Amino acid sequence: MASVVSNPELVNSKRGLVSRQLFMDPEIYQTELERVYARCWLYLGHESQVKEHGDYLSNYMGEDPIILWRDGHDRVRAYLNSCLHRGMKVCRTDAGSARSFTCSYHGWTYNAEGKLTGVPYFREAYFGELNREEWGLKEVPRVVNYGGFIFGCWDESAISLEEYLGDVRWYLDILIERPLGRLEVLPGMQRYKLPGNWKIQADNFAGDVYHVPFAHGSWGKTGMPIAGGVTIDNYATQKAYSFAFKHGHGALDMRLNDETYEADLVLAQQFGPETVDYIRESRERLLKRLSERQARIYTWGVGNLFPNFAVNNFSAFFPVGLYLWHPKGPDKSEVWQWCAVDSAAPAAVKEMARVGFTKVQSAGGFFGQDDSDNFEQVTEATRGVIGRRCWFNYQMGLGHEEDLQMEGYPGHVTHRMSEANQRNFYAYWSQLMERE
Amino acid sequence: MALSAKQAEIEQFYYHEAFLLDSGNFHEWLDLFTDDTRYWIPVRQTRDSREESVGKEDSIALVEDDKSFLILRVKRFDTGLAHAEQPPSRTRHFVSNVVITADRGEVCEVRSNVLVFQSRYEKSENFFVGYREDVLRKVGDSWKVASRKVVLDQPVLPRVLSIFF
Repeated sequence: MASVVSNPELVNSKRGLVSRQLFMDPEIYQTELERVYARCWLYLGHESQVKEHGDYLSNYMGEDPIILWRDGHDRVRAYLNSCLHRGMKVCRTDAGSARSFTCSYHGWTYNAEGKLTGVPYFREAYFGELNREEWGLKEVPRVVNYGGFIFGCWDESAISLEEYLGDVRWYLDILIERPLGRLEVLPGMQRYKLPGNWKIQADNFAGDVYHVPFAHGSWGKTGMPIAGGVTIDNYATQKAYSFAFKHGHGALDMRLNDETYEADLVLAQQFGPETVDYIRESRERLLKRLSERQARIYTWGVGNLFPNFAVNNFSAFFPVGLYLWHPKGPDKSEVWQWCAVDSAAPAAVKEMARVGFTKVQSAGGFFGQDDSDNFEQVTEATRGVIGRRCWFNYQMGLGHEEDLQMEGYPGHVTHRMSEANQRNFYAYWSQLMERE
Repeated sequence: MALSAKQAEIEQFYYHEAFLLDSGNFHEWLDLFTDDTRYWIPVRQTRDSREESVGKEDSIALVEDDKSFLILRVKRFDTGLAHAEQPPSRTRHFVSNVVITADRGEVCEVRSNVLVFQSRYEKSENFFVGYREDVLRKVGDSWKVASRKVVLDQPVLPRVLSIFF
């Protein structure tokens, strides 16, 4: 029987069609863990979460549990969270601080440099013959910090992180450089199970402006604004743009001409002069550190960095939301999310961002709830034989990818409402999946 | 020892609240909260100490609402576009282990356990388990929730939170 994975018809970029097998088939899922997750640069955590020697957090790369850990030489490293003796998780907590982990099965001990420093009964049981140098923790060979965002990659032959992120860095830099202090991830994280394939979330964050007015219609109907002057009703027709990038990354909601900054200034007046100054200084800082175009964008909008790391930020009053869509099976995923703020923001701004994080794209937020329920039902209707023979339709704006030409903005600009970013996401996915 | 009248009153208050939630009578449910109420569901993590496993005031939360946002959540149901609750979930709230931990007459601190079953569609069935720490205040003849902290025991939620606890 021919392998499902090698079927060239899984992704038909020219026609904007993607086979529903991508969201259900176990063989495709297993292959993508190997060819996507074990080869791509994956987001592991933020430097502010591991500030001191010994600080660690637990995370996943694909289905492999990892520990992100700051060692005694101020280097952030990542290891497979598994004892090299018999596989036990050496770290069993979500976060904390530890100079070493001792496996709870047989007591092997590892330090933050990944070295096996303790083996019980080394002389009596091993006759001193086990080569402890060889049995340190399995380390993620490449871990790179980009502006505080720490990424890791298992593939030693992969391109550099800088090249992998490519033009998307120009936009990410806005979020990295805007803080007057440092971008700081607040304590705590949200996690929830989502009964659907991870790519449904990822492609949504890469480019789905179209779903917002309807899927999230309850937000507008209850009178809530999205951000300064933008409501559900005028959301889709805002003068804003989507950008597709090499390697499957996509961003949307980019407003280019100070619209967000000006809305923030208006809002800041309600908070008082200190906050007005803060907003002005943030933009000044962008002008000093980056280009005028970047300063005028001032925020980021929504974007998905291939494969499963999404970031959103709608203004300086909003948190920087950090999301991982962890794969947990062909039809299962988990959403892990954090929230970051500028450490130097006025207390009221930080508090608004922290509390605001719970209202929108969040476990109990209006957007998070409805996305999750929709994606669950997408999955249920894709389970059957006939359902799986159908396509997902990504034809919006097909043939209009070159309509807009804008000098000076890296990446490929497209219409605000378009599925060009999703086509770009699956084209790269397909390219990775074809590589043995 | 016979249960105090107050204990019985507060238990009845919780049973009534559970009934309102399970029968979808959210507008009446809102009336059980004071105007200055705080409804807080902190995050939960696996940490070395029990104390650290519950999110603090400066942590992000799962839900952190004042009365106006609670009202908005109920208004949202009325829009017909709250897809996560349209069609509505079937829920069953079980409240137990009710203990008055501080009795200051018209204000009581009460701890209770909650077990909530949520059923959606054909096979989405989930349990949420946790405890609540309430501050109840007597307003006129009725108790009202002046503050509620819901600590769920699941660090990874079985589903998004589209229901109340």
